[in-house]
Amino acid sequence: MAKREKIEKLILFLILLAIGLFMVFPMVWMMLSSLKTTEEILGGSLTLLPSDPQWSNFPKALEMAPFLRFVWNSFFTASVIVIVQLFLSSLLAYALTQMEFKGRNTLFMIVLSTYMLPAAATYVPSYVIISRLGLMDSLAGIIVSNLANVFTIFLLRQNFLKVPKELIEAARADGASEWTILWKIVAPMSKNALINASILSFVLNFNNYLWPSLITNSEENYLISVGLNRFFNTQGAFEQTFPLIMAATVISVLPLLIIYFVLQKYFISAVSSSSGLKG
Amino acid sequence: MFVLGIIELKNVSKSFDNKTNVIDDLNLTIESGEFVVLLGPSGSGKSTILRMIAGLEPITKGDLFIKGKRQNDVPAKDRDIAMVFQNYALYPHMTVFDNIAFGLKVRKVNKGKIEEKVEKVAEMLGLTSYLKRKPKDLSGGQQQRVALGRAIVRDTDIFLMDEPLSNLDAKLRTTMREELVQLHRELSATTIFVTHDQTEAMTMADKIVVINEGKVQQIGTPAEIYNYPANLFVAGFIGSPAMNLLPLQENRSGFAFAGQMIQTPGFTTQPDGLILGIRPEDCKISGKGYPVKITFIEDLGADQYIHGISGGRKVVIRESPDKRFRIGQHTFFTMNPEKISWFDKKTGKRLEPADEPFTGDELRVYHG
Amino acid sequence: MDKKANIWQLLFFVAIPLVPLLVFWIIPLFVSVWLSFTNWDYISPDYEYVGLSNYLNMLADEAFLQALGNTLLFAVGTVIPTIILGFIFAVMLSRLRRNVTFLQGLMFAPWITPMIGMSIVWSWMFDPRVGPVNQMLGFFGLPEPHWLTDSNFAIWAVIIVTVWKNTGWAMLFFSDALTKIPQSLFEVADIEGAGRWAKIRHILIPLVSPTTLFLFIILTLDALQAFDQINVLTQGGPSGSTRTLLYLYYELAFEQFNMGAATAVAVLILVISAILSFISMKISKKYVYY
Repeated sequence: MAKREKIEKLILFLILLAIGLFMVFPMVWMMLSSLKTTEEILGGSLTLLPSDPQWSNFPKALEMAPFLRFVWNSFFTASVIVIVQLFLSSLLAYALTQMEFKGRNTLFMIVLSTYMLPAAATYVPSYVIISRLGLMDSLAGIIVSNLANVFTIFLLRQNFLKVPKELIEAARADGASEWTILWKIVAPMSKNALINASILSFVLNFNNYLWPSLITNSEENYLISVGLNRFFNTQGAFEQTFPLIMAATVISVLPLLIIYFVLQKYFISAVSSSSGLKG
Repeated sequence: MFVLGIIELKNVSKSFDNKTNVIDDLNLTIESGEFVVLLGPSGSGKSTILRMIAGLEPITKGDLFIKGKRQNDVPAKDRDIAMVFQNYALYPHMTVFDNIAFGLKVRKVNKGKIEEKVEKVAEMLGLTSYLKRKPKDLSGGQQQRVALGRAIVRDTDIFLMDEPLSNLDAKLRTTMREELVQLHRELSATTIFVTHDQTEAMTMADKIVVINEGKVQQIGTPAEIYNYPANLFVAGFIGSPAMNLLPLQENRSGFAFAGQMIQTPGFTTQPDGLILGIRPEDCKISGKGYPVKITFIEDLGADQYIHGISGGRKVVIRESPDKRFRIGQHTFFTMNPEKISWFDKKTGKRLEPADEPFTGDELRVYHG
Repeated sequence: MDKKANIWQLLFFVAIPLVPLLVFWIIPLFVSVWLSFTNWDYISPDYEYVGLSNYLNMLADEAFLQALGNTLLFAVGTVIPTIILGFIFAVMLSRLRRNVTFLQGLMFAPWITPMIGMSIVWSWMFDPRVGPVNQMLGFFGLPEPHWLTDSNFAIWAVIIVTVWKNTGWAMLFFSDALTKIPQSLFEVADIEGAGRWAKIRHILIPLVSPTTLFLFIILTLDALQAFDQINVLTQGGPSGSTRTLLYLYYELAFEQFNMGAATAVAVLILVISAILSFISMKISKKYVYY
């Protein structure tokens, strides 16, 4: 029985490995293509590996558009958004779980009801609001308009509820202010939830496209996805630039991919934790 | 005549890491219709034995026979045995009826037959009015009954129970104990019951198997285990308060305890140091005997347990409640010489007096 | 007992965090509904109330009906395979003891990549001449469609990319749900005589059903909002065959500046989403086992 089970598990592993490799194939193919010559690709042969890696494709792509600037914009806006989101969401989640005030449940229901609504439905009015605020075509506009994150509020609220009431009451008895209780007791005890919320929010904001593309139109304010898609739209028609487009895409995909493979465990637990939000 | 047991484990070993054996060279025969209790502290391997019989754990070495057929490679689903789990393992998404019927359904028993059987079992266990409920709407005791019902409905002749009563409160546990014994009598199915609770073992078992560190320590009826513990582990584990185990000093003329010479019988094997075992109820406070200083009195109403220090050792003595003692009192106690158990200090094994030859039928004591 | 908050605490802990939520979520949602009853064109300051005519025009518009049909096809075509594959992968993974995180890591990787970047990659992978997709199909002697330019296939290309990106995510949710099922339920099923299929059918599937429901709702909402991959791969074409409701909304609002008609579409998406999340909240209460 033990031997049969071992063989069965080996077969299962091999099947799953094949599936896993299939899932990362587009990324691998992208990286290999970014190192090929145009002729090599258009030759249409099945060779996967570049015969002579063209590392120069990367500096060439960087010459055509400021991709590093785009990556920095994405990184910068996503980081600021995550930090402010965590701060604001912690405050609200704390109020919703540890403070008593009139309309607390109503407020929670209102916040809850926006949880699953499509962001796209807000774009037209938000567009007007951003332009009235004078934040059109600026990183500040991207940051300000993405500060609200209902998901983070939820995740934190659910975890703040798990902090034993006795601890908070004991702290109050010791004379701690609500501010101190939040940052010295509740937040440290919900460290995992804060990390998970940051990871998920960072990925979404780093990769964000549609909304930033609507409110930015000068190159210096493009997020990576926006810059990449504009580059693709202007250059993509020419097969000659194909390796350069792949090189540019590698630049856009690689930062998160590297972070992901280093911090894989955290990413996976972040997503698993978000699955606990149902019901 | 040599009769094979319904369940037979021969030289069975189990290892999870291929280094240390959690079960080590176990031999056990269970006869048809017996109520056998596997008793041992947590981590002793008793549940592992049960799970190997059930087919939930592969057997690392040795053979398992059920009804004379080797079962090592037979998957759990084909062993045709029923099992009750400690946490009941009820399917949360199924009603009580479906929970009980599940085993019959997957065995493709026809619908009418299933209904008839489930209803009969439900009636037997007083579950008739709960058949449409989900497990989460039942009390712990009712859930326990559903788990039992699921086992009974299968009509198999082997029941395995893994600490089935330990999640119940004390009062319910006593009632369920009686009911289980009753049930066993009615169904006369072979039952293997795992527990760490010696009261459960003593009150329910036809045969107790005491297990510690993956080894059988003793197999016997509750009375045998209680009166003739096979080694120091069993002596210390069975009985509450435990048996007094008093190491004796050896000098030129014999053995002594608390400065008093002790009459020892001759033994079949020469002991290497001697430990005397005597239960609290076989000791008596007296004007003479071994000196004892009373340190604590535990009054249980029907009895009182006198805790004291004698010869540098803690001793416990059971006394009738009408006598008066006080803490700090210096007095003496005696032991009933017929009730003394002797153990080899080095091996921990029980020593048999040479002049009272071992009579197989009365004193069927196995050494583990 | 929670502490009764004073006015300053409320201002700080509640009012401030609510500002972005109000300004960029709640108010715009209401304004959208209001705009859908006007004919505002964004450029001119004037607008008129047109009543329900945006909605009535929409229902008579063939492009809208096509988009509605495309959205339905896209939603069904992405949600069902994503759930089924995610479940199968998770069940297969649950039988392994080692390398689980490694395999999960490979399968989940697409989810963290930017949809824009990977859609660009896929647009070349679908290239009929040099893309590996058709090279592979040709190798097995299968037909080699012009994925992105044939209106019969374009939506399937978009669906394939979306399923590819989301399956790992669904798999993680199912993996998490599977680990929460007590092992003893499977053991008791073993003893009861259930085979592998009986266990999957009678225990696994019913017990992960809350996760399935949750994924179904979330993935459907996600499908309603799909944009990046359509924008890169097909831009709604060819001949509108990949134009979903959201893409139509985008074109109406930010290419044609027909804000009234656009917000009417947005409100419809909003209503569908609201209904879906309402249903999910109602049903999920019934289904919680642990």
